Amino acid sequence: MKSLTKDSDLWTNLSAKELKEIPVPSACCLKDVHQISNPNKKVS
Amino acid sequence: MYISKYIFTYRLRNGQHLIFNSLSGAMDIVEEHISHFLTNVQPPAPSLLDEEQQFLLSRGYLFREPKEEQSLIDRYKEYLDHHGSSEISFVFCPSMTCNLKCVYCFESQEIRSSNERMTEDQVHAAFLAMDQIILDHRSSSHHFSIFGGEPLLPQNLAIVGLILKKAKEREISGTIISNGVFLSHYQDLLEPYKDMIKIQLTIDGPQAIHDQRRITQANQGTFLKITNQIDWFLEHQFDIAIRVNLDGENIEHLNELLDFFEGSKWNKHSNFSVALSPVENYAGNAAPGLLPNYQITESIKKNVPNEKLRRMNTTLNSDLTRLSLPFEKVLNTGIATNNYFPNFYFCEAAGGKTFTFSPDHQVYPCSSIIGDKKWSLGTYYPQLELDEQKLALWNGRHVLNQPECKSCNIAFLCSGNCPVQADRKTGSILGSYCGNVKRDLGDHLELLNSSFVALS
Repeated sequence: MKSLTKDSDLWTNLSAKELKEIPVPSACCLKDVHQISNPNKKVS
Repeated sequence: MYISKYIFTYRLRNGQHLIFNSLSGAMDIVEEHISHFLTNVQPPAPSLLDEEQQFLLSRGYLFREPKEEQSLIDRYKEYLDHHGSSEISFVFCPSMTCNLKCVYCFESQEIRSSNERMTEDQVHAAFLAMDQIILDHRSSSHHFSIFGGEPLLPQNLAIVGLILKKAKEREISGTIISNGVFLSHYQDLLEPYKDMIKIQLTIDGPQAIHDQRRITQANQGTFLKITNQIDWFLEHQFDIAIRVNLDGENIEHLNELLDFFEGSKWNKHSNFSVALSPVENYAGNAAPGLLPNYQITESIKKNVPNEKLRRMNTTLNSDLTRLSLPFEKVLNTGIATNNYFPNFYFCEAAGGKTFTFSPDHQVYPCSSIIGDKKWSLGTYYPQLELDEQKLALWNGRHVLNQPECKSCNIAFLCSGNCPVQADRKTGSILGSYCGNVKRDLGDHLELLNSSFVALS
C-alpha cells in the first residue's frame, strides 16, 4: 500500500477556517481558469 | 464497515491497483485483493488484514458508518453555502453578428448573420437586471464578459462604450472576448477602462495554420491583422490573454506558436498570458478533428517544454484539465500543482451562476446556447422577468441532484458533465450524460500506466 497523496493535502483534513479560504471551483468554456503555476487560481 | 461510493480503481501493469476517491481526493496504490474488496468484485475478496482495514479507514475509503461519508458531503455543502453564489458571471452580447466564419465555431451561421443589436435602452435594462440579480443572490463578487458574435465590430463602438461605462460605475471588472480583427478601432474607447478589463483574443497557430481556421467571410486569413495590433495594447498595459483553441488540426503547431509569441517579446510584458483551450462540441455543431482532452494535454506535455509554458504565463481551460488534474498532480508533470478539490458543479452555468444578456431581449443561462429561445430563462427587456422554475432547475444542477450521477464513483471529478448535452441526450439538464468521460479517463490512465507503476 502506497499513498500518492498526503493526508495533509486532502481537503477533508482542512480546518473550517482553511476550507473557507479555498475559492469555489469555477469552470467555464469561455474563460481560462487553471494557471500552470497555480491551477486553482482564478485569473479572470 | 461501509465502503465509500466514490472510489475509482485502475489496474496497473504490475498487477497492483491505483485507487482514487473522487470526494476526498485520496489516491493510493494497493494490492489487487484490496481493490477488489473496495469494488465488491465477485466472488467476494478474502477479508482484509487489520492493518489493511485501518489503512483504508484512515484514508477515507472505508467508514465505520455511512453517515461518516455523508458528513463529508454535508461539510462540502456547508462550504458552498458559505460562499453562496459569490461568483456570478454576467455576459453582455452587443450583437450576435460576426465578421469571421471560423471553421469550428459553435454558433450557427444563422445567428452569426443576425443583424440584431443591443440598443442603449437594452443596455440600461440589462444593468438594472444585473443589479436585481446581485441583490436577489446576495452576491458579493461578480464579473462581466462582453461577448457575441464578435463584440468589437466598428458598429458596436457606442454600445460597448456604454457597457464599460456602466460596469465601471459599479466597479465590476470583466473580460472582452474578441477575435481581435478590429481591436485598434477600440484603442481610444478602451484606454480609460484598461485597469478593469482583460482582453481575450484568439490566435490558433502560426500564420499558415491560423489562416486556415479563423477566416473572414471572404475566406481571408486574419493572423497579420490581429498580431499587428497587439504590441500597442501590451505596451499600454492592457491585460491581454491569447486564447488558443486546440484540436487535431493545430495541436502539433502549438510549440511553434509559442515561439512566435516569444519572438515577438510579448511575454516580456507581465500583462500578457496564453490560455489553452480544447475545441469542444457543447452546442452540438460538431467540427471535424476534435480530440479527447487528454490527448491534447499529453501532446502539450510531449511537445512543449513546461518551462516555456510558464514563461508564456499559460493557463489551461478547465475543460482541458477537469479529469486529469489529480493524476497530473501526483505524477508531478508540471501541469498541476494545487491539491485536488471536488466540484459539485460542472460549470458556471450549472449552478445558475451565468446570466447572458442577448440582443433578442432574452437571458440565457450559458453563453454557448445564445439565440435558441428554448434555453431562455426569461427576458431582461423591457424589464427583468425570469422563469423561477427554470432558474431553480439550473441553480440546483449539481451532481448530487442528478439521480444517475450522484452515486457514480467519479461524480466529483466529472461534476455531472454538460447540462446542455445532458438535455439533448435525455430531455433534462438533470439527466445523466457521460459522453466519453469514462472511456477517456481509462485511455488516459492507460497512457500514464507505466508512470504509476514507477511510483508503486
